[in-house]
Amino acid sequence: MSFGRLWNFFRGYVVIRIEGLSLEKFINYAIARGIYIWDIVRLDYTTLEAKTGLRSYKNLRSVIKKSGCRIRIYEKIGYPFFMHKIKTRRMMFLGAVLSLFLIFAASSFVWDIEILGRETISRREIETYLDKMGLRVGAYKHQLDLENIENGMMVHMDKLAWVGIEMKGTKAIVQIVEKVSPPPIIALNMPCNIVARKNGVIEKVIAKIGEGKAKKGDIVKEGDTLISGIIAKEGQEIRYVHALGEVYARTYYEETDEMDTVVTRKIRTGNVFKRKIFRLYTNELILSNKPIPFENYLLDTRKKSLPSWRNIQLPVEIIFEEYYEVFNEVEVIDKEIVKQALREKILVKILNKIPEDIPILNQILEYEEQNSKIKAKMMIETLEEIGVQRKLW
Amino acid sequence: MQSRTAAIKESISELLELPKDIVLDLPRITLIGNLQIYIENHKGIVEYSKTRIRIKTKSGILRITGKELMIKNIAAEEIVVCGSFESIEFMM
Repeated sequence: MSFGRLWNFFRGYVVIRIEGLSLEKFINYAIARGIYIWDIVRLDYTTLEAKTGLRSYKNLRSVIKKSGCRIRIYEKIGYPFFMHKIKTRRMMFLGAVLSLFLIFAASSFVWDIEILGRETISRREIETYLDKMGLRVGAYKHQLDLENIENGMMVHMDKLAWVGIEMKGTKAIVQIVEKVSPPPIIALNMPCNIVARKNGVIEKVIAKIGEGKAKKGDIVKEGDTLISGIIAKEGQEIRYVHALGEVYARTYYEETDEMDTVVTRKIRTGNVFKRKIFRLYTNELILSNKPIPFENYLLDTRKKSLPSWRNIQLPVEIIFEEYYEVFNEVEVIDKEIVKQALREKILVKILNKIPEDIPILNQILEYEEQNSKIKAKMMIETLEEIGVQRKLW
Repeated sequence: MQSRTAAIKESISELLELPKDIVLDLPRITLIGNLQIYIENHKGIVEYSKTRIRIKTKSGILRITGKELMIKNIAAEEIVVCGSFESIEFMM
């Protein structure tokens, strides 16, 4: 909108329709009298549509008489007319202002608090703290000092690693990250044992303090004592010490998997059958009564529901179902290729279980063929530190 | 006589390098593509319809033909016509 048009809007103008036979004459007379008219469109042979200002409209009357035409106001546009309308409908205007104010007022309060990332801390605990700091449902959101609340939470709740509070409209999103606390350290003056963290075959025991209970070649189970903190020697009193040392053992990781050498693929024939289902709560209404014409098919469903507003999801939904006819194609894959793929698959799985940075001593892979299937079993032998301190009592 | 004064006026404007539209009271026409025509110093409208507009000027009647013609603006001295023009010609 150009400046000129904006000016015209504020001054107010009328769209007029002039009927007559000598319309050119009318235009010429109007110009001669200095009346400004614009956007002149000839609708048909006898009618003309034009726009003119409010004052000019009054002056046009004499022009009309002179040129022998008839004039009619088609539309009134502009600020003065708008104001006039409002003056006659004051309550409507008041309502509009009031509703605007209400929207503004309602949107400056916190309506909802969402807590994300919570694992072990109870929701209640966080909520009570937030409540204490002023962030509660119904709080005036412009008065909240989110940074202050974040800092306060970090100081007072030592289980938190990070807190972020974000206002999204009337919803406060509190994101927390909990601390992963390290295993409790046993004080040096506390007597303790060193026990096995997992099953294995002992390779090396380095007992710095305490009595080594396991020796090379021993098979230990999880929880077995490896270095004891109870030292009992004949003729001496039993001593309790803080066992310290390293225990290395061979540990074994095992993984099995299988793969088919015969693969059936579903190939689409290109025939499609579509149907719609209307759902209200759990009631489904199928909108076409034809049966599914295919024996083998792939089903593709799409759901279309009304946009959810806040947390309210309307229970109405339309489900589009597309049935694609398919035929099965059987393919036999070379065994070597299957074995290769199987090996890689299994390796990925097994490496996920093995902790990083430990030496792998041995690797055994066995294949077994069964009808159209190939089974594989992989075993990895590693050298690992398995000792972990545990209190005596 | 008329043509003689006109001839003298033209030679004077030539001599003094005065703009001819002022000295000779001729229209100044500006065209923007075939979408808008701006005519200064016109003498009134002779005919006006959606497909044809005729405007009186000092150098004869200017006839514009085209589609969806519309007088965007009109004042005592100037006129702006919009639409898509097909021909613009002077008729003496």
